Amino acid sequence: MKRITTIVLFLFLGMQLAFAQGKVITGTVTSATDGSTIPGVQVIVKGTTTGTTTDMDGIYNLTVPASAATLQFTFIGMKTTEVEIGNLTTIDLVMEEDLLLLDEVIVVAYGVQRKEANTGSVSVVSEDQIKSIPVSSPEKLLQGKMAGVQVNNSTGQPGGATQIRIRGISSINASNEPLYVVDGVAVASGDYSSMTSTGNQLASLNPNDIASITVLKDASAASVYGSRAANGVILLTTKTGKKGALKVNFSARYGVGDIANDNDYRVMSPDEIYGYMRQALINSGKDPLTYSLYETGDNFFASPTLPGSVKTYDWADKAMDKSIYKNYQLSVSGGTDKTSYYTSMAFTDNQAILFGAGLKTYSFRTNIDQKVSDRFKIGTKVSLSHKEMIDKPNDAMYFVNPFWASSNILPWELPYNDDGSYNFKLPSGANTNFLAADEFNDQWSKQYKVNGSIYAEYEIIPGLSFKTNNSLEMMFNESRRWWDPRSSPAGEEKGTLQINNNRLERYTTTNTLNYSKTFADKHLVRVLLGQEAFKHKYQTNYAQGEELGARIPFLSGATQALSTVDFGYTSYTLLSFFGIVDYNYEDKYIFSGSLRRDGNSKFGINSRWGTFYSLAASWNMHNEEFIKNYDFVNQLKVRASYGTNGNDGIGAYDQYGLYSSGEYNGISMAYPDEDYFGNPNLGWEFNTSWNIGLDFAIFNKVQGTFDYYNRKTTDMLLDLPLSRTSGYPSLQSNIGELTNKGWELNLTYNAINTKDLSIDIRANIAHNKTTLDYLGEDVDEIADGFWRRHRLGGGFSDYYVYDYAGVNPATGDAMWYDKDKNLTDKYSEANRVFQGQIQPKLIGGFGIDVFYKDFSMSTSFTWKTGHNVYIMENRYVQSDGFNWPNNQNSGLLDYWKEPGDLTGTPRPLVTNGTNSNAWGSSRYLQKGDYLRLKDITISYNLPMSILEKAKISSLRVYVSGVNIWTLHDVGYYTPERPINGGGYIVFPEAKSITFGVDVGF
Amino acid sequence: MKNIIKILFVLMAFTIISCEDYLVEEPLTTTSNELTLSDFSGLSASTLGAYSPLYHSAWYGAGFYIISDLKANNAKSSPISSGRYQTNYSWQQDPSNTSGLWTRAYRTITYACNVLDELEAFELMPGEANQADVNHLKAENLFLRALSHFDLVRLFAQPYTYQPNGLGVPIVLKTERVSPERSTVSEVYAQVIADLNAAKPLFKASFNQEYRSGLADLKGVASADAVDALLARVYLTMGDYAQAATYATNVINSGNYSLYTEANYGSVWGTDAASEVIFEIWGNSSQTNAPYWAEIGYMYSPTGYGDVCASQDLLDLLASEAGDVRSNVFLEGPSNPGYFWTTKYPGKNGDRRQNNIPVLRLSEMYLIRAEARLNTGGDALADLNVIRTNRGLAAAVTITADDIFNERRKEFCFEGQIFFDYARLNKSLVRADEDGRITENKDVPFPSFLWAMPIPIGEMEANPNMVQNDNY
Repeated sequence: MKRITTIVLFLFLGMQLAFAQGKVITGTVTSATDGSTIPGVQVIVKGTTTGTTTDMDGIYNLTVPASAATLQFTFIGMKTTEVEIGNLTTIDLVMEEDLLLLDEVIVVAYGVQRKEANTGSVSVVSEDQIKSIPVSSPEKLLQGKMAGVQVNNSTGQPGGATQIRIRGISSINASNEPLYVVDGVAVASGDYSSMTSTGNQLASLNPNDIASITVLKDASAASVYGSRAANGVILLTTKTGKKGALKVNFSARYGVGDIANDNDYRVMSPDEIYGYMRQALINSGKDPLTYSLYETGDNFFASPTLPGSVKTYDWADKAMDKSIYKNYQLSVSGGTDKTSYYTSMAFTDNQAILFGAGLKTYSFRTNIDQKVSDRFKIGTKVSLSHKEMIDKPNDAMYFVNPFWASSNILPWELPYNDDGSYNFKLPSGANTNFLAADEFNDQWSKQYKVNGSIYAEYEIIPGLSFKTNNSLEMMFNESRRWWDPRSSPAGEEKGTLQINNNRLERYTTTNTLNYSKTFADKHLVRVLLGQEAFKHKYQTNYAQGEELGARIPFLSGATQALSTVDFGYTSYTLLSFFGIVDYNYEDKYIFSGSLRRDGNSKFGINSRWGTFYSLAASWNMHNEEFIKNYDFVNQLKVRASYGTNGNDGIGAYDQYGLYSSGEYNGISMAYPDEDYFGNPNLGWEFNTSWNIGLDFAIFNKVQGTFDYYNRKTTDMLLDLPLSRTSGYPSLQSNIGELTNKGWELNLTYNAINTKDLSIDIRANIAHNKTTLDYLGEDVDEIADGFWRRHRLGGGFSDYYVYDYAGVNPATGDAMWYDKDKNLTDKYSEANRVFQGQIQPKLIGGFGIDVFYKDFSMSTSFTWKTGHNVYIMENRYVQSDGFNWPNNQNSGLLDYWKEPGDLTGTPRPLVTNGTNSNAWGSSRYLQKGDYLRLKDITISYNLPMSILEKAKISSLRVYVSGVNIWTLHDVGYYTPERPINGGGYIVFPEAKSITFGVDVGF
Repeated sequence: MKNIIKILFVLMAFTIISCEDYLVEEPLTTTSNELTLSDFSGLSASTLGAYSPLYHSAWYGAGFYIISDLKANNAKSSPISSGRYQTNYSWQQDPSNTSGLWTRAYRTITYACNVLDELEAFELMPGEANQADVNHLKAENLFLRALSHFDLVRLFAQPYTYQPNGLGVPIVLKTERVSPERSTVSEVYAQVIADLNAAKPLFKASFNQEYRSGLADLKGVASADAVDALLARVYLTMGDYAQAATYATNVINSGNYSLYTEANYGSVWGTDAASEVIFEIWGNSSQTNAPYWAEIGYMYSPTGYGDVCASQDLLDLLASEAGDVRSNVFLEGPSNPGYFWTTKYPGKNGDRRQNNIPVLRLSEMYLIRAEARLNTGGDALADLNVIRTNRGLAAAVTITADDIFNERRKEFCFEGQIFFDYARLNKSLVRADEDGRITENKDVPFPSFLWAMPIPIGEMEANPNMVQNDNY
């Protein structure tokens, strides 16, 4: 980071060491905070390129021309200070810390930029804010940390997918995920898994290698990424070596966790379900004394309570395990004047809270930068990773899914027979024993991944440099799913094996010319011209064999008649030309513009090329004389931007009319694929947005950022229904429109800042509203599944549910509102209403960081409000007897018991036919609001006095808690559901505590 | 320095020149329309592909036949029905439940049009095939287009014999994104006849042997005889008896087909390319568009879904004369004594969900000619007796229109013909045996709006030029 900083300062100040006649000035620079000397401070004669830097002891020695009047001292993290030279020959300086980091250099599109000179809406988190939090992929670190960035864990599975929405949802049929750029290269993100329930390409990045994460939110910041920028861009920058002695860091972490279940969502206990089912018998007019649950005459419910002689088993306890997290890291970094390097390796073993599931990752990274000459620099960044995900079927309502099975199997149905063998007579679990499935079946994927890039940078003339960056991303994945015959009841003696081998290749070349020059000391101009080419190729090789024996569970035993093979292939290319122009007048008025032309093979011949642009201006009012008089104002900046970008997140071949191959009359033939009519006009969804923002800092204490934006999607892809006489049901066309409007506020308050104690308080809050403006001629609604609809003038995928009205106090049966808002006991008369929305009205986060001497504590909360979640699976586990005979969720225990009872839970009935648990009933639609203590870390740095004796340079011990506490009212373990609505049996998150130690040598 | 810049510009120029090629990525596991239809083998494969919707469960794969027999008194909802086809049984047809055949028939039409369109200007590559081969493909696609339009107009419009100038269905001769209007019934029939007449001379007898080795069933693809047979049926449906007789005679005299015999009648069903069959749908559950559980054989089996069984009326008619071998192709439900299911779709290779579905048979040609001769003069009785004596009955000595109607009913039961016989003869329907399962429209008079199905709702919404049939 500092290395980049240095380069940029060189660039911006146009500094060159010059030699001239004059006097020699020397001095020492120290820090006001702790009195230590500061190496590497830039010391220049103001208004010239004459300057030097302080040495390891903070001492500088500079020959200045006789005309020199002022020295300027600059260092990152410190306030830039100017000193009149006058007759002085020794100038010692005490530099004050710049808590607001106005001079901080941040990573932006195709380069870096001083924060003060930036015009766009960007959010940054740095290493310090994320370094001790155990996560399986770096983007998960963003949760609650940035205004307007909604991070959704749609699964709590280690290595699982993350959904991120920056400023709302922009599309119905194309992608809504942001573009991820690692060290300047757009990388594969999302789920490329097969055989496992979830996957995440970003999980191959070691979170500890990340130096900073920048999120580009508005058009000014993101539009130079053109056709891929519509959903925002997330820039991840990895660590580089710093000039200085070799640094070795070792860290070890160990964590344990349990399911995060703050509302005690659970299956009924044996006594509870016995009583509940017995009550259902009585309610249904059956005699518990004579009712047979299993065999004729078993009279299972004869006793009023569960007899003590009946053996029971705690299925849920077995399904939900303790999570164990182990992580070891070693990094070595350092550098000389010419070379810097950073290399790391890490191993993580994360056993999940789901019985038998887990993730192991091995990752290696090497970043090297070499200065070949003053003008020529080359470097490489390589990461290697291996990832093994062991999974259990957990994404569907199957009884091999331990989550699901344990919510349904009756406790007196036991997993083992008396002789210790597996019991498959489990009528309430479809005769499937997930313990047997766990022992014998396989479900895993192993991924091998390489990301490598090489860059070269050459300064053609001062101020003008050429850079080329060429990268390769390659991923191999092998995966396997094996259903062993021994995991099923006897009689099904043959197993089935599926394997899939995938390969992903991505190549990118980025070539840029960068020119920057200051004219007349006042006009800083920067021009960047670039060209980029990109190719993406993904193929899958699938094979399945049936009726394999358990002894050799490989495809070698498969017969031709019972095997299936399949091959899948996707490729697309992108070719781009782009430019950025920045103009900066004395750091007061800053204008920037970008233009990009993208050609993308996904689009039809008539609309293959798209042009995207942005214009932005910012005014640093704090640099104006009339504001400078107000001392308490540290920063006051207004920003405005306008621009367009596009969304290419569609299928690679959607533009084509396609023929598939099939079979007719015993031989192969070709027939048109009804999803591919062919649309040579198929083009990008455009996103046009404007943003106004205000950055301020006052009293050197409070810093804030406010943004208001409006982004409109036009040419949104929708399926236009066709006359069936065309042979096709619909045609994907660029016809729809939607708008996201919102605001974001980010505040930090540096409450206390003394030598021993500092307290920072952070908070962010954001509001976004999505409105569907146009869905096609005469189209008011588009169904999205059974109980959600996209609605003209409404939100994205609004819930459209049967209006549940609770329980009739007289009868204990469910009631609904009918069309006239009257109560009815008949489900068939229930009215369907729009109720609630999937997107939160407000999202935010806040936290406190406390540093006291060698101790520190940081906390981060995240919250959302104003949205609803549909807990679809409760239709089955809170079914009022519909799922008979099955175990049920304890949420039913407040069921109606006698006339006059006021409750929302109907009385149980055997095989409940009242539709009280109907599909799409508002009964299972709940407020999704939550507040979660996402992470808390307490750490202790051993004092130098001890460290010196032990000959180590730093030692830090810490404990970090994740998801320690959640406040919510959702009838499920976790309040989060997939971000586009829907989802069921969501893999719950773990509540974990991790202990760590970091040692530096 | 300047050299570097020059090199850069040259490099950039190269990229720009090659960029349009760089930006073309064609799929590998499917092929674009252009590529598929660019050579003879692709056109041949696409022609075969145009047949595939015929086997769909909404068309010959099940629904098209079952609905005809169920609506018109040959079949009834069985005691083991779980409700499939119940709305058809009661003629409860509304725009939300009639899209099945509409969609599939137009799919075959557009698949065929894709090829025909390409063939307009198709130039053979040297050594690829010869013009006769190309003509054969053209003939097959014309046949399929005609068959599809014919089935559509018979279902979605009033009979030609009742309102020849009423609204028919849109005629589609080119695959394109348009919103066509409905042509009149007679225009549709004219197009059907034109396509069939154009097709007939273009067939090449040896085509399948030359280019389709491995074809399971030679009668599962179109032929010149199939064109004649279909023309005979088309003219009969129009009430043009002279033409009907002419084309029926062509088939009968071709000598390529022979009637089933008393001895083999019970065992020919389910075999490939049986002697009477002129054109059939070859069924196999691995085939694209295979209906699988919804297949006609499973629906007509008391140990399958068995939703539909034979009506007592039909059984009584068959039993009215002793010795009729056609009484033997029934199976009494093992758990439902007194109820009978047809065994014309007995399954293949032990799988009841795959069956050959006869579309055109030789016996139909005799009965078409008998009906034609009864109306225009000629020895109708002789033709009727060819069938009767082959089915174990004594030769008749007199003949009436009712005799022919009943003979057709016995001969083609469960082959989807009877509804169209009622319609073209403008005959009112009276249903006696119904076990109380018909909820409405037990008897349907002629004329009635019900004889034309409503245009599907999806079509009405997507096509502003579409006009709905009366009363829907």
